[in-house]
Amino acid sequence: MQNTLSVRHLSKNYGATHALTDLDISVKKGDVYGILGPNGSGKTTALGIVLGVTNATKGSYSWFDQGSSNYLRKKIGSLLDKPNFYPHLNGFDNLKLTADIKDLKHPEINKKLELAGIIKHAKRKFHTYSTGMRQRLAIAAALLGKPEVLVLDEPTNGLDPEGIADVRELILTIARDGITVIMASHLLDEVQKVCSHVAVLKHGKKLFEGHVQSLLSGNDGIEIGADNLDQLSSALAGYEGVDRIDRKSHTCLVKLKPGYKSSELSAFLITNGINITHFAQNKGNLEQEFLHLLSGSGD
Amino acid sequence: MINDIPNIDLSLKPMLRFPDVWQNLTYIAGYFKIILALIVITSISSEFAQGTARQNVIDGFSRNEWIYSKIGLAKSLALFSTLLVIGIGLVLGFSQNVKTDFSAIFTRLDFVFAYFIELLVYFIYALFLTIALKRTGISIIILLVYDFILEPILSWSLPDQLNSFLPMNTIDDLNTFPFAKYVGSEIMEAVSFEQLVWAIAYGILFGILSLWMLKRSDL
Repeated sequence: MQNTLSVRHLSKNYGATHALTDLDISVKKGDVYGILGPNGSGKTTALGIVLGVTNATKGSYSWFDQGSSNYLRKKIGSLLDKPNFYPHLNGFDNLKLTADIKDLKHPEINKKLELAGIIKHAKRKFHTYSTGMRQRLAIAAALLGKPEVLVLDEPTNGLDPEGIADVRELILTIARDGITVIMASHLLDEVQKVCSHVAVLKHGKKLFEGHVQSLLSGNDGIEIGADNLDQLSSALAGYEGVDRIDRKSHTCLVKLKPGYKSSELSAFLITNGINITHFAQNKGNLEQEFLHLLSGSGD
Repeated sequence: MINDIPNIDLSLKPMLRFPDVWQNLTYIAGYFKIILALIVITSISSEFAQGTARQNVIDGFSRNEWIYSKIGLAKSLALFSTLLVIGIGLVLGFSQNVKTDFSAIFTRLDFVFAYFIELLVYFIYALFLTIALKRTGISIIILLVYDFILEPILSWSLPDQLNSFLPMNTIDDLNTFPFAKYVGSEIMEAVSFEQLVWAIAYGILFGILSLWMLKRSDL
């Protein structure tokens, strides 16, 4: 399958600070690809490099397997960091300028403004826009023409809950149309809801890359509560089918080895005199796995 | 003897007649180029401050295209100013020439072309400073300090042969003080081709340096 974006050994140093170290990622056509990481993990730096505004210290990237020329960027709709428009121009005229740069003859500006929910304010000057309106205008700009890929950096920044839901729905609609989406975020729920693939970064290094489901399935487990948590922990440690135990404040999260069933575990605990107060299947949660990845990565 | 004194008209009239008006007017107008350069600096530094330069590149401009668009702005501003000077020159010239000799209107138009080059090169120099420094205030300060303090000191300390090759001198020497003519002193009668080539060379150099710096920096 064609690569929409391939990044090879990308590094960026600011003096002695390593903002990005030897990053390799591949985004295939049709992926909704999340780049996940805490603040300062290198997400925006990585996107800045592939969008041509930040110079890499080392490494290379290629869009659509064709290199990194500025002509290829015209096929990309993007919102990086924060919306940047001419403050003295209105929303419509700002989008006309974007369309001119992208060589779009019939950019359907009004349609995109409507799609992003900003059409009512199209004739207002940009400097009068609220943060949410600015974000919506940037999304409209990113959708101009028919971009082959959308690159979004924290796309729900500054939006109210309704706006966040709108943008999430918009991303899913876009993805259903086969447009590749690359999205950086530190909002785990957002990524879990919309992304098919994810890369996790910390301190500029990649900790994980793959399907969101493969990341989550690693965290499917059973949440067990008991009158005496110490007794429960000891009993669990003595059960051969337990693969991993994460002790929380009031429960233990248990991951079983393949072939073992939760019913067998509950029978084992009851036999061992554990008074179980809570026993529930725990579906994988990106937050848990993300924190697990970060805690396991050292520093 | 009183008869030896040249016949001097102390009114402004001879200065505003064709073809003198072109040289005189462009010389005076040259002083206002600093105000126009401030427009260049403010407009370009705001592109960095507001992130629109960054957005233009994200949307698909190459850095070369971005620089060309800003040189385009400099060219438009220089052209607008030159056309304004031509308009004022025509009005003044026709108002002062009792009997207009049409050939006189088209004489010394080389000073008008030199004025256009003077502005264009100066604006590209302002563009270069803004790209190097990114901030409005500091760019304006450096422009003024170099123009009015540093280069005059350099001029004073360098031998005469090198003086005229300093960038601001090169630009300013395209049209030197023309009014001495009216008290009988010798002045330049035409724009020096060599000076024009040097000025254009500086414009190209500042343009290349601007591009080089823009390519090296993160937006």
